[in-house]
Amino acid sequence: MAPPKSDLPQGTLDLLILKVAALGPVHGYAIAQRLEQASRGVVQVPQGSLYPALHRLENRGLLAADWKATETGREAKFYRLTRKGRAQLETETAGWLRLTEAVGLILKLSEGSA
Amino acid sequence: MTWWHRLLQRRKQEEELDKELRFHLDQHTSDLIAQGYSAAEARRQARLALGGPEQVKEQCRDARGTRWLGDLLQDLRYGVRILARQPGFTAVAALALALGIGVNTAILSAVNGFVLRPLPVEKPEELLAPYWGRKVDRQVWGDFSYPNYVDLRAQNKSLADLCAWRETSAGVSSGESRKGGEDERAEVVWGELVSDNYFAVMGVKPMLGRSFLPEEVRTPNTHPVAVISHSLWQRRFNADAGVVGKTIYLNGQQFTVIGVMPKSFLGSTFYLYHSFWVPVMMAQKFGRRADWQTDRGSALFRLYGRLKPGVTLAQAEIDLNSVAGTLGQLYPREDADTKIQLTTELNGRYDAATSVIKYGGFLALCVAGLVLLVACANVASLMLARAVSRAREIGIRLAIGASRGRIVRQLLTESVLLALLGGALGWVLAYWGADVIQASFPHVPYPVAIDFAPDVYVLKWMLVVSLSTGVIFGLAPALIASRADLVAVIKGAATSPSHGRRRWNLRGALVVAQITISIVVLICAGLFIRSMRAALETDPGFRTENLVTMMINPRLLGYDQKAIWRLFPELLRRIETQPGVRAAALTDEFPLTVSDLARGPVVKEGEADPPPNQGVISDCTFVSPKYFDTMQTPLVLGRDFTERDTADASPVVIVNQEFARRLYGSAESALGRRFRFAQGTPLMEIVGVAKDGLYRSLYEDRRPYMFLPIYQQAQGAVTLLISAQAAGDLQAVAEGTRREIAKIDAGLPVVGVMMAEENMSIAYYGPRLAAGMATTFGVLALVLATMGLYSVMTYAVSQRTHEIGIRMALGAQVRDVLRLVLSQGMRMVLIGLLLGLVGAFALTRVLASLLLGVGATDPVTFVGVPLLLVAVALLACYIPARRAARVDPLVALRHE
Repeated sequence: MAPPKSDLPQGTLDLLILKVAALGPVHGYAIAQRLEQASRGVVQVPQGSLYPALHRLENRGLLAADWKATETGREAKFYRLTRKGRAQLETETAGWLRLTEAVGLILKLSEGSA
Repeated sequence: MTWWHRLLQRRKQEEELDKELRFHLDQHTSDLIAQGYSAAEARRQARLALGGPEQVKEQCRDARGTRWLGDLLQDLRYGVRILARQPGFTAVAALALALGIGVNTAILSAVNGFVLRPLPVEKPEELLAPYWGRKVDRQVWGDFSYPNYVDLRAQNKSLADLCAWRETSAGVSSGESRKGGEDERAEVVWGELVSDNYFAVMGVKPMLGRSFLPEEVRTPNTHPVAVISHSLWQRRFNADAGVVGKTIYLNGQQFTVIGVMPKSFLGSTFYLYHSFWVPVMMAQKFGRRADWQTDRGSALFRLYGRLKPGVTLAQAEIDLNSVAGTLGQLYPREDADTKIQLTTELNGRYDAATSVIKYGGFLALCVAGLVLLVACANVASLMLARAVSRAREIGIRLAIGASRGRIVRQLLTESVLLALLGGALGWVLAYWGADVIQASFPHVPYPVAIDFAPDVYVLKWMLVVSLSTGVIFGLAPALIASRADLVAVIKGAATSPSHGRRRWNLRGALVVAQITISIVVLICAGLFIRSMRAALETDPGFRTENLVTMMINPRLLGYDQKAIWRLFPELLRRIETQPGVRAAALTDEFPLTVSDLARGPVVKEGEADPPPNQGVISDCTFVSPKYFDTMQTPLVLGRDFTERDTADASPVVIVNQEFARRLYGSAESALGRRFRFAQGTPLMEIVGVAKDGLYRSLYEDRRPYMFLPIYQQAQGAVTLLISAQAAGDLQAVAEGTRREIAKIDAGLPVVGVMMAEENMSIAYYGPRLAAGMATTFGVLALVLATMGLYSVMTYAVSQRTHEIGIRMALGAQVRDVLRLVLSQGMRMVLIGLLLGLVGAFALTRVLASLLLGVGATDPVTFVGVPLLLVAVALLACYIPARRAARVDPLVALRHE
């Protein structure tokens, strides 16, 4: 029995996609696979939102896309991070870390010390 | 990537999107098969994980931002299809809008022609016009004397340049005047005396040849050179490219043509087109006195200038006023206490327009706007009715996932399409309307250049108006239609009356609004029509039934004063011997045209000059003997002028009753008294008192007026007045007079021949135009509102067929059904009527100054208009009511 999967917090999908794309050109299906594997199956990747997110990021110039052949010889659309996308990834990662740290601190407060 | 680029790549993008998603599904499926699922199950799982491919695609399109474009195209296609499928509805709605938009466009073009259209010069919005006047006046519109212009130009520090111009008329011929044969008829044209820098300030270059050199505008009467207009070039020189250096005769004087202006350039003002431009130094050849250049008191010129870079209008005005202040100290007699007002040519044109034009134009635009509102309300209620019949279609689209915004957008696209269609039709109507307005312009002896045809500016506004009307009348119906109750709609219950309550209320409100606005417009129309009738019936104090008038100006042909005084009595004697002529006379300006001559202040014998800006200034005109007889204006006391009242005889004057009353108490005490004008003109004896009349405008109150003998004062341009014995003689009298003039001098041009009523065309222009427009507006509003009421009542009856059937089955009589339907309709009419009357009472306060001979609360109008509307509304309700009464209960009940 697989552990219960959590929904992805709002707005984090873009960040995760950028992170995966930062590792090298990658197509949509592979992104979905990697996200699921990397989060050890905890995070439910909504495949339906994946493609709109990819297109949105491409439209904003954070990702660029080329059609290339995969190992199996089929043509697929590979996304890669642009310079603008890399900068965005850095600021968003930093922001995310700050946020989780702050949330963690608050959650660790014992009731008595409030 | 631009949006149209994206549009071109749309197909490619769609293919790629499809390919990308297919790759994902295939990949996922084969992975699942590798995990041990059956092929069918793997495919199902993969699909489930991704979600519906069409939804995903739609979201991707959304994400790319090209979606609105695709939607728009789709909406447009769909909209066109829907409109084409209901040609009846489309035609009625588009026609209603065309009437509303057309009438607005026509009025806007007319206003545009008067006050908004810029001059065809370089950067017209930066062309500045200074005006000269007295400090005590709030606004000044005076002209400048030449010496003041020269000083202002030299001493100001804020203007890059300043030019001067003065319009003048001239007889133009290709040969010397009195030698002209029959084929060589002289014509009178208008032109301008201009300073050397005139064309530079206007920023317009001649199309052929050159403009003036500085030395050509330096010394009086030495350089007879002329720049001519495109039209004169075509008319007189057959568009000869070698015209430069050729000779043209202006007022019988030889001028050398040095340039031809482009077709677009008509001169300094928006209202006259000019045919020639000559150096201001040639002014004496155009009837100016020899001292025009030095007399600081004769304000002859208007000025145009342009700012130096970095200087503001306000700074320049202060600068010019400081120069004026210096001039005031140097020349206190002419220049004391003056002020200069600086404005752009466009603003000055608007500010200087008479309040009648301004308020009239504004009012016409407001009323036209109201008519457009009626049209909008009308189409909105049509759209509402249609929305109900489309409830099913919309309900189904909502049910299968269309968002409400999407539906509203679709419906709005349709209404905007409809509005654009109406706008296009309206544009055609506007052209036609502008033609009508142009054609109604009175026959004046001036080359009027006001162009009422719609231009690009008007086109832009019309587009804005069309698009916004589309939104105005489309929004509410679209919002309501998209709020459909899905279950009821799909069950087919939406057509039952209980569900239409809200729509019904809005439709009722729309009908009430149409009636209200129509009442307001109709009451305005009624008042203007009554006002025009009053104007036509006003006694101006003279009679025109048997009158022929025409204008001559012997001075243009170089006649000097003595020759003119020999010519006039001789001409009148010859005309009077013609058969059919009762009497003939001369005046410098026909009353109620464009005259504005005034003299004063009047100083009674033995009294001292009044302080500046005080005392009575009286309008006046110059007339020959028999003027009063010819015009059939009675002299209440004293005698007429005679041929012996010449410059050598003692000065005499005839005044009107109001003049006599205001200065001397009565006609009797005025007769024989003497007065003069301030600053030492000789005393004139009052030899006669004429009955009061109207002189400047049909709208004026009684005002003091003087008649001065034409043989005592120099006059060039005169109007010949010939009174025929009978109306049937007019044509023969006019021909005979022209023959007599030609016998004396074949080169003497005759212009502006008018007969009988035509003489009043300028005077009646305002009231006639106002009444014509008001009637058009009124009829349009009435037709639109009636259409609206009729369609709503027809719809209401069709909705209540079932109910009426039951009532009749239960024993209701035809009378009861009629009453039921009529009362429903007339309730709306009465509410609208009351609201409209309140609105009209409020609005007509503003109209009071534009109305003549009728009160702003004229009872005839305020009773007649509602009665007319109620009658028409009853008819509009009665026809559907009759239809309702003919309902066969059996058919009605079987209906569902």
